Amino acid sequence: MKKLLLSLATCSLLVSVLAQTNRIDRKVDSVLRLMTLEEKIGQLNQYNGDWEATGPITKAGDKQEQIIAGKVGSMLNVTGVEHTRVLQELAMRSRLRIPLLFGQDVIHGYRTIFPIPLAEAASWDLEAIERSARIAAIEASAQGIHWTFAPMVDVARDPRWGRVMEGAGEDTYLGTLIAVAQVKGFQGKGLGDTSSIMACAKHFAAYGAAVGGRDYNSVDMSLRQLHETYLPPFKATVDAGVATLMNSFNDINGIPASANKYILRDVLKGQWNFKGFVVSDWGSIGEMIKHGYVANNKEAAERSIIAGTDMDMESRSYIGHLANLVKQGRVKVAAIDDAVKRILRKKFELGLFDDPYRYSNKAREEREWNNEEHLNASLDIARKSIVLLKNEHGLLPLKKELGAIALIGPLVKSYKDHLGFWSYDWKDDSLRVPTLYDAVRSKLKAGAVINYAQGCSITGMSREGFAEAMEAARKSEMVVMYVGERRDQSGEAKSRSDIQLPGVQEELIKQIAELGKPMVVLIGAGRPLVFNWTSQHIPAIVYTWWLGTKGANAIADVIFGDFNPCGKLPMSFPRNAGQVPIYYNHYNTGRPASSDSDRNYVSAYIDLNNDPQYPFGYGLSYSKFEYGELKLSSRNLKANETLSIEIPVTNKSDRNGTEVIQLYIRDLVGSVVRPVKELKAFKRISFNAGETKTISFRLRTDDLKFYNNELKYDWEPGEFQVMVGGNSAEVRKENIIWGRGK
Amino acid sequence: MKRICFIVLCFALLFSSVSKAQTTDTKMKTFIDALMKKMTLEEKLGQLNLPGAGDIVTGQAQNSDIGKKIRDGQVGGLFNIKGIDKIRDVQKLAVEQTRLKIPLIFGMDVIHGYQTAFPIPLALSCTWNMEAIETSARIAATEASAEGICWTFSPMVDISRDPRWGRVAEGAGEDAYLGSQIAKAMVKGYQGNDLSKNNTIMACVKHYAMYGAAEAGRDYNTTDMSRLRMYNEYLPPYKAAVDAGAGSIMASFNEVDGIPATGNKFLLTDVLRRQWGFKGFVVTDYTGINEMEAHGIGNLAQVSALALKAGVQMDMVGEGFLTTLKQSLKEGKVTQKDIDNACRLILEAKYKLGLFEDPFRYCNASRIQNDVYTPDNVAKERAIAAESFVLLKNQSDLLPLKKTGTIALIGPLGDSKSNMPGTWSVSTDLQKAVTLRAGLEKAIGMSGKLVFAKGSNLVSDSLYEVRATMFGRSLNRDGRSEEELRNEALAIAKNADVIVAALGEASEMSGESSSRTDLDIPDVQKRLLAELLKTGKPVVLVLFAGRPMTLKWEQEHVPAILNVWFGGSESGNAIADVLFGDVNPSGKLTTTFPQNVGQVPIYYAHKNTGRPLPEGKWFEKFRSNYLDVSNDPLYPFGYGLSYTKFEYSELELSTKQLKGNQTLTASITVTNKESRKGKEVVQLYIRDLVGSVTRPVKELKGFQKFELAPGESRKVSFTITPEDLKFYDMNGKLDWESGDFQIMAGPDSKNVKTVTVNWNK
Repeated sequence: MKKLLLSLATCSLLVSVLAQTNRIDRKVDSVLRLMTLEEKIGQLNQYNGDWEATGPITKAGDKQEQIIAGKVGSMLNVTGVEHTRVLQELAMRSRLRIPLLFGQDVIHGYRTIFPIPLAEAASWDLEAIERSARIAAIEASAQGIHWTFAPMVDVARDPRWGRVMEGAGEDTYLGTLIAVAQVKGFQGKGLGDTSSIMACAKHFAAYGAAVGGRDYNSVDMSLRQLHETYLPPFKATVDAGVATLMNSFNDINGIPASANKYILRDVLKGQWNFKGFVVSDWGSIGEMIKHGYVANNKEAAERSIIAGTDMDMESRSYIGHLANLVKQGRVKVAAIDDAVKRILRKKFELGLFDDPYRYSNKAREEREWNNEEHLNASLDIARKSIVLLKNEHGLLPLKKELGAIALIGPLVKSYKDHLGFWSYDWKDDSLRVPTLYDAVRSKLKAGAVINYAQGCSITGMSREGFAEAMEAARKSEMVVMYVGERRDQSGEAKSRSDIQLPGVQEELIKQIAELGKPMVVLIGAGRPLVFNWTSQHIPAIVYTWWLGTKGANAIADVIFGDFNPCGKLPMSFPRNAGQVPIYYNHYNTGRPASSDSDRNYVSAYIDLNNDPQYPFGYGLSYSKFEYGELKLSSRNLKANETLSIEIPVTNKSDRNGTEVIQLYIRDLVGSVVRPVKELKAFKRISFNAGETKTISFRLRTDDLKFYNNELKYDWEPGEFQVMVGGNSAEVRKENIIWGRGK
Repeated sequence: MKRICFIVLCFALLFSSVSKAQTTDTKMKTFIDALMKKMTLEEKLGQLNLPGAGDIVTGQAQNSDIGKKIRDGQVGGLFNIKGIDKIRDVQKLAVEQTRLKIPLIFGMDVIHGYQTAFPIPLALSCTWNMEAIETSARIAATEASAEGICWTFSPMVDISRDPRWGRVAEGAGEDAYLGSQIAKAMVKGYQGNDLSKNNTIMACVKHYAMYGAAEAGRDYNTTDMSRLRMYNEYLPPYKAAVDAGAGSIMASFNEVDGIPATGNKFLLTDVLRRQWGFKGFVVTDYTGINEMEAHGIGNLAQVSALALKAGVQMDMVGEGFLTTLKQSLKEGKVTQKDIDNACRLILEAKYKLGLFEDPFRYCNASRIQNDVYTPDNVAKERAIAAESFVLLKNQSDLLPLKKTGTIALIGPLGDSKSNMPGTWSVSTDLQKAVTLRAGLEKAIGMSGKLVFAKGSNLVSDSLYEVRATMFGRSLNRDGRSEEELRNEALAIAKNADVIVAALGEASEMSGESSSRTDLDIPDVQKRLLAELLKTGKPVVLVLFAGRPMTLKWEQEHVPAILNVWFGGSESGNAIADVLFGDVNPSGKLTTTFPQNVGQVPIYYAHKNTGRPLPEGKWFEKFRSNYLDVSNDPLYPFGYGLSYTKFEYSELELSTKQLKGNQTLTASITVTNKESRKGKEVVQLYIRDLVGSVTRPVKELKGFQKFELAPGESRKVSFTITPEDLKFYDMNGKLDWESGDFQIMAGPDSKNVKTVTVNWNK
């Protein structure tokens, strides 16, 4: 029987996708028929591979036995051709020889580390983002990995939440495009190609709306908000063929996501017709006990499998209890079969039934280990991710002919921080990941002096190093400071209630600034930070996030003008934590403030402006882009018509540069209130010095759709504002009428 | 036999009261039917109109713009006109010069007292004394009704968990259960048991609904939440007020589920009328209908029709109803029935208030003398104010103070009359309020000495100070430099025995349109406090606040902190009563005080999450926490100290295994361990350990407040029934579920004794 299957598999080349799907379904069914209940449940079970440093021996030896017994469907955190092969061999000793899936958190690169996802989002370069995911897949798959737990597509409007670094920011539309680019990148030509890995859209759903920005906290919102703001990136990844989704830890309106039948069964597998499988987050099924949603692990298994979570990551709820639940009639075999089929289908698609070792290729592993092209790609997107926040009097770029420059700050001589959270530390990182100091040194002429001082640590309160820093600054023509967060101050379980520059760093900036030297502040961080004093007083500020293996080179390229910065913020930067949540696509309210001074009986604060420090979509260039008049093809449209929008944009400088031109619309009157603006399109365009280009966009009624009070997705005729600009706060706008008639 | 008699008697009583109500209802219906038959469409629309009064000069109502409107039958009521003569004048126009002589209804923002200003509602809630709260509303009604007012835009029952929102000052805090009790007490206090009495006024429950959940704590901002949360956490106080018979309800400014509350049929009709059976009328908030244009759901005609259809009956200020409904009726956008229904509900309210019988019922000049700002009212205010203060810290029993020696009173709030009554005190004479300086001087008399210095301005930013001291609440900004002001204060502080620092917010830093992103004591005051502490003298911080503030530094450095909110007319005296120990403080917080603004929203009845911190740890990797601050509040819900010490026994339960409708008795013994009498609030919390939806880690389900003599013990018992276990489930059904429950009792939400019971259906 098995042989028959294999031979069937070998002659399935020139067939339609549908036929292939059918064929795989038949294969899946034929395997399923051979399986005992215990073997089926085994497929739903995922364990962590806790490797000893000395070799492929798991601490818990029983996991090996369970693999042989067919009780494990997947492992995570097992990497390397050798390790994965050893475990796969164990799986091949199981009765049905069903291969294991190896999953791994490949979040922003594997061997070659790319910018953190929030930084990549700032590039607004979907091709580069796709390439980044593609390279991560190539490197990871060469290490025997089949499956990454990425992309994280959680929309997040709360910079206190540490996991904003893992996502694409606050906007649903931008987030959706990026999510799709990442899935395409990871999954490449499609499962079956050995350089493709399965993507996993996470965390389903609304994880980014944790109360108080505190990780794992409760989420509560209207269903309309859920559908309009938080679900679209997931839906887009499903439409793009994402292989898997991961549950989120939070409860949504009282029901933990891991057993939330509404989002899993009704929406994902029902309305969206998702054919892949859903894996829990680490222990999230078992954590429903703490949520107070179930009394024990057995109930947890029951609720999750019925709700539609297919694979249990490390809760041991399924492996421990499902058999019993089936025997007691509490869970139908059909529910288990559905989950098993989804998982088997992916194993077939990956070609693992044909060759369980097809990702275990030693030669390939070695070949991909140090790939110059990958490093270049990482540098490319790193440069595009950098956001120039301020540049008074053209202070930047710096001249390479500087005689003496001060490099001050706790990040100047750090290499590790460039890698950000959710990255891999390789043994040779200290050699291959340059520090800013190294990168600046390589830009300067021989003989130039770098006066370095750390000044202070990132989080410490000691000011002992200030004097030395002052001295370094005094001796120099100009000062570059590199401050920010430690890389592990954002990321999972890294929420902060205070999002100011940590420690005494801003104090150090103030002191140095008193010297009156030309001064540039670079800020490395995994979230929007608050640095109001710096914003107001320092002439040049560059936000550098965490940019990966080549991060320091990217920064040096930008500050010395070898690359003209073009990144744009994918999240609003608040003026203080008390403004959170703050996002550009808010509603107007019934009492909008007309200006900063308009505060009485309007929706405002008595102690602070409403607007953010830096708005969504904001970012400067060394070029200067001027926007001309907005030209619309019509001001009165009918349902089936297309609106063409044109705007001339001119590079008013003598330097080539790239601009991200953003199109927003506002639906002025809706059956439910509509945001004051919503991003609907953007173009990332390169301009030669002095060049003018006419940028055009097209809008159709599909672009006007939203979820109404009955959760119906549709557009409504009426008046709309069309806005185009270089960020969400500065736009040219025109009103149009879009009617229902033909 | 006796028993049968009793039952018969009960039936008879029941029958007679039912039939009496029926006759009243029948009489009212007959009267209004007859009246409405005579009314033109314009006159009906006029009844739905509540315009702003503008500046009516006594004796000149006849000639004012509003006078003309009234004569034309275009006005159903007026609000915020103060003075019996003005009200009488205007009412005369309505009942003498309009065709149908329909009297006007007169409303006012009587939020926490009328002439006798009571503590702001947030402070009142901290008394946990329902009788006192009801008394404050009763006195407010008595005083207001003596001056022509028959309708108040109170109580505000919005649950709020965000101290940035300025209007937390106006509500009862963060808890739905306590908020519901207070909502009931307020409605009872205003309305008494007969609305037609000349000393009762109609309550208006506001702001319906969810106004307190404004995003980012910014006033008028969007709210968004699940239906589950609405029903369990935000709607109960509105419902409690409706159940208590509140005559009217006000729609809120915010939108709910994408539709402004003012046009939200789900809220105004499905829930309010169909599910709760509300019989009164719905009024908008100030221009609430017009503001739906800015919300972006239609032009004035559209939103006016939307509001009427959704279930609004009266249009405050905006005149959307008056100017557009006639046309909308013609176009079939609204029906005659919609308009008739609205008109009827307003006429019914006037009928219930007895206005048809006597339009001048509430204009009785002799009552002003006898009922307003009486010594008795003022004395009650003083006692209630003292009961609302919360002692946050009292290291080494620094408090109470002795009345001897030299006390240095320092701070911008130390000698301000106008800032004592608190936000939304529109009808009190600010100059009658007692300052802290006056209160202390009076208390000390000749036995000691009080010296005073302002010490600092309110805040360094002078424009901010202007915004924070509007409506005649100036703190007389001092032109001297921060240093000069501070040095003056330090000079007098040096020679004092104790420093009382009167710092915090100006009264207009909270309330409507007074949201803050920073909850610290303002900059210059905080620096002043630090300098005062450096003198080495004992410092008592008397904190004026309309919201929970962030006091982490103060908690670490200042030996004694008394939070006095804004205590109303007798603030200074009441504070002196507590500072000198004539009254032992007993207030308990009704909102959580965060450690910093980054913890917001923080509330005691949160969910457990799937990754709660282990007991006793403030941080653990991969738990739901922050890197830089613990999950604990600075002061938890229910917290407040006393000058005496109360000791709690273990919690005793009558059983640990219950079935169905059995009753559980939970008892705990409280002992006053010191030689001073004091009041304590014992709080009962329950946790439903497993639910079909996740349940809060604790929920207040009962409390008892009582006084204990020195050394006295009392066994406090709570009776718990399955009613107390109920919650709204995913399908909107209110019910309880079998399982294990934690029963908790203690002096605040954090320090509780816990026993688990099993309760099955």
